[in-house]
Formats: sequence, C-alpha cells, structure tokens
Amino acid sequence: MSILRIQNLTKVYSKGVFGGKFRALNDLNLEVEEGEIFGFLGPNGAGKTTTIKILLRIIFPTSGQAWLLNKPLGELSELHKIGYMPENPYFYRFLTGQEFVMFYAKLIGLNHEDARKKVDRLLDIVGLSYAKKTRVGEYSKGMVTRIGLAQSLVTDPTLLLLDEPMSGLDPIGRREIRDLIVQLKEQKKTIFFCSHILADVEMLCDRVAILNKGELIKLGTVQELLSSGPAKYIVSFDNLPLEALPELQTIADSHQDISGIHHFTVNNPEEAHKIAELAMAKNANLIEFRPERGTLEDYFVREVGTHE
Amino acid sequence: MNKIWTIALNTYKEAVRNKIFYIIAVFALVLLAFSLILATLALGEDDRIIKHVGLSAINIFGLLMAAFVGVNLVYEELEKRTVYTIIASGASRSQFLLGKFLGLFMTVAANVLIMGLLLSALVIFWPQSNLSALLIMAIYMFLFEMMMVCAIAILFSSFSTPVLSAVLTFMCWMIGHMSEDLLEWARRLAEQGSAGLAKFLTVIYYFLPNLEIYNLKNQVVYHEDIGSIFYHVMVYPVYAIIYSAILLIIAILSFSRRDFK
Ligand SMILES: Nc1ncnc2c1ncn2[C@@H]1O[C@H](COP(=O)(O)OP(=O)(O)OP(=O)(O)O)[C@@H](O)[C@H]1O
Ligand SMILES: [Mg+2]
Repeated sequence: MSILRIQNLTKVYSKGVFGGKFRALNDLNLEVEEGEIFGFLGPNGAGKTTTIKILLRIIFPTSGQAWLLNKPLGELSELHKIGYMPENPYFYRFLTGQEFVMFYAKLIGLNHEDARKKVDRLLDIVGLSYAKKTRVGEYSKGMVTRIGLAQSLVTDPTLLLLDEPMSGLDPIGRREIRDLIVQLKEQKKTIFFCSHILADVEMLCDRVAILNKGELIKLGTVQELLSSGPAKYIVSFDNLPLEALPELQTIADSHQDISGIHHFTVNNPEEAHKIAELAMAKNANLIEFRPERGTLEDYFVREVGTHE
Repeated sequence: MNKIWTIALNTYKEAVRNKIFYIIAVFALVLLAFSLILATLALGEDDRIIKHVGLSAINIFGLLMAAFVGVNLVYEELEKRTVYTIIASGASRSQFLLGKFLGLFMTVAANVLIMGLLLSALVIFWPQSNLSALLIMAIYMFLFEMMMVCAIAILFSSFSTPVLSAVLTFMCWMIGHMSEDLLEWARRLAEQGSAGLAKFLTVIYYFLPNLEIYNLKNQVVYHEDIGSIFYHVMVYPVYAIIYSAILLIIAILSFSRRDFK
C-alpha cells in the first residue's frame, strides 16, 4: 500500500503584482510505499520544498491531487500521524527547548503529564536533554535541527516528511541523525526526506526520486540508479617500471600516480585484465583490482546535467 | 478549543518574554511615577492628576502593546515559518488565528489589569486621593476597547506587513476615537453641499468602531456622570465582542485559502 501518493501535481506561483508566473512543479507523479526511506533529491529550486508544503496544506496546488495515508489532503485528523520538519527551521526564540517541544505535545492534545514524559523522551532521543532548559534562540544550528526533529516526532508519526534534516550538522551529528532515521524505519515508520547530502542518501534510502525544474527525471532504488551508469574498473600497482607506463596509458581511460602507486581506470573488464597482465609481466605488484560503482553524486550530477 | 488555548498560551509566553514588552511596561511605570511627582507639585489637584496621568499611562501602554506586539504576531510566524509546524500538527488556520488573537488579548488584558491594580493601590494609599467605582469602570471599559484594537491588529497583520499594519491600526484607533466628530463633520459637509465626502465620512463612521464610548477618563477625573450603567456594563461590551468577532471572521476568511510563503 502506498502511504503517500501524488498525482499530476502542479504548482504555479504567481510572482509579484504584475502577474508573472512560475511553474515550480509540473505534473508530478510519485508513490511512496509504507516502511521505506525515500530520498527526494534535486538541485536548488527543483520544487522539493514546494511538494512538501502542498502535502501539508501550507500552500495549495494549482492542479493535481495527493493522498497521505490513503486520505486526500485536508483531512485534518490524518495529520496527527504525520511528522514534519521544515528546512532551515527557525523556532520560537523565547521558549526553552523543553517548552518548545511541549507546545507541540499540548497542541496534539496530550495532557500535561503525558506531554512531559514524551518530551523528555524525545529530547533524549535527539540528544538534547542537556540543553532542555536553554532557550531555542541560543541554540546552535545543529541543536536547532535536533529540536526540529524532536518536534516532528511528537505525533508518533507513521509518515515523516523531513526537509533537509542533515543540513547544518557536523559529521558526528549527521551520523547520529542517520542512525536515528534507521531506528525510525525499524519502528515501521515511513521516511520521506529531501537532502543535498548524497552520501547520506546513498547510505539510507531504499528508493530515491530526482526532481529537476519541477519535473521528475528519475525514480528507482539506489542500486538501480547506480547500476544504470557506465561501469568502471580500477587497477592499481606498486613497483611499476616506468618504461611500462606509456603502453598502459594508451589502454587506460585515465591514470593517476599517487606517491608511487599507479591507478588505472578503465571502462570494461577486458581492458582491466589486459592492463593487469602487461604490468605484471613487467614485475609490477598488483595491489588492487576492483569494479567502481559510481556514487550517487556522480549519477546526480550527470542526470541533472543532461536535463539542463 | 484545546488547540486555540495552547496557541494562545504560547503566544502569551512569547510576548511577555519579548524585549518590547519590558520597554513598554517600564515606560508605563515611569509615567505612573511621574504622576506622583506632578501631584506633589500641583497642590490640591492630586486626585485629578494621578487619575488622569495614570489612566493615560494604561491607555498608552495597552495601545502600544496591542499594536506593536499584535501586528508582529502573525507576520513573524509566517516569516519564520513556525506556522508550518503548527499547521502540520493538525491545527487549522482558523484555530491558529484565534489562538493568536486570544494570546494577544490575554497579554494586553493581564497587563492592563496589573497596571490598573497598581493605580488603584496608588489612589487608595495617596492621602488626597481615593478609589472610585468610576475608576474601576474605566479600566473595565478600556479592556473592551483593547479587545477591538487587538482584533484590528490581527486582521491587518493577517494580510499585510507589520509596519503597514501598525500604521493602519493606529489610524483606526484614532479615527475610532474621533467617531462622533466624524459624524459632525459629515453633517456640516452635507450642509455645505459636499454630499460625496459627507457620505464617505458617514460610511467610515459606520464601519469603524466608536471607541470613544470606552473612554471614561474625563468622567473619572472630573467626577462626571457616565449616563446609563447598563449600557456601560452590558451593551458596549457586547458591541465590542460582536465587532471583534466580525473582524476575526474576516481575518480567518482572508487567511484560510492563501499560500503561506
Ligand atoms: N512563494 C513563492 N513565490 C514564487 N516562487 C516561489 C515561491 N516559493 C518557491 N518559489 C520558486 O519555486 C521553485 C521551487 O522552490 P522550492 O523551495 O520548492 O525548491 P527546493 O527544491 O526546495 O530547493 P532547495 O534545494 O533550494 O531547498 C524555486 O525556483 C523558487 O524560486
Ligand atoms: Mg527546499
């Protein structure tokens, strides 16, 4: 069952008083399955935030439809099972972290006692217990991200919409949030998130969609996307006699000499083999022979580039 | 209702922790203290001066709070996108707006009441002055004036920028206090043959609240008769409530279908 379904969603913003129009989303179709971690990618201005805002009824679509948890948008009660974290969140400066999350707990109707317990637990989960009495206005960027995540979990959501949850975090923080997202998946939650940090997306996501200029240009599992790219092989040697170099270079796609270790990149296994044989015949030590999967980043840059 | 109340309490909390709150409060207290100095200087006029300056301080305080804090409330939530997470938590836009209004009114009312208590204590303990029922009545009536000003501020801020909203709110407040004069001008203009302008002023008269009926300062200071008690205790307050409700309904309508930035 798809927990999130988007059908022919289009958003045209009117710009300025003179009636300029801007098509931020064009006929978007997308389905997210229950329990998956779904990465929603695209360059700046692709329409990612626009999509999430429409799902939450912060803005209204020009045309098209969407269903969250099998209900058409706008059925309030369903929003209770959705967690949302905005991009670059900016929260009430004058509230302490605890009061801030408490506000949302009360907003969904928890009584004081339950709200308190829940808030303490959530602050613990996002690693902010130590700062719960500090005003949000004094939080660092990473702390604001964390409190935003705590806020998004207040509803015990089955579906989480996270708009760039890793931005502004240090490597340790990113790792922690990644672990948290995996934990949430284990609790059978569905996570739909936008991100520009493709290494994280690659590690986390079951499926990704790539959006560009309001249009969906790619959809699939990370594996599918990566294996659709050209395959590459890397062969590396130690002790390579210099006279062997020119011949190998003509076969290889590219060559790198990093402190005496020679790396050759080729496009197919046959060439890789040939290079290995030639070099070893000259008494070089083969130290590495591996297929190289492109990263999601390579893929992203290539795909978005071809759609320019 | 629970959601509205939660948003209102949060608004109140935010408002009283804002710097502008203290600036206005200190300003009002200074005025109150100033009335004492004036009272000791102007012999025999103690009672009038304390009550006049005291009530004025409360009025100014209330107005500045309602206008400056009020016009920022909704705008800031939109600007800083805090409204997104509130809507995402399942609160509706009307609940949000009503919560903001209620929180604003609570903030203003609580502080008008505290200052009213201070002023009452002052006149009780000041030898040449005394607490009159009229003074209490004046503060009671002022609360209803503030209710309308809060609703006006929320209405403007639901579709316009803080600066413009503040200007418009002040204008409404001023014209609201000149409401009787407006009718008088309209009558004179009609006599002089400017029927169009006269109509315009009359329309404004009917659209803007008559705030002057909530101003009992002169009656308090000069111990004048205020006329019907029933009107002051019941009719005017009910008018204020209905007027505010209509403004809020308009605000909700303009707010509920628009895209938030
Ligand atoms: N309120 C608005 N009025 C007019 N245009 C807008 C509005 N909001 C967004 N846009 C435009 O719509 C496009 C998509 O914006 P959106 O915020 O959805 O991008 P995004 O994919 O989230 O980008 P980013 O990665 O930078 O967050 C952008 O070109 C933006 O300029
Ligand atoms: Mg965005």
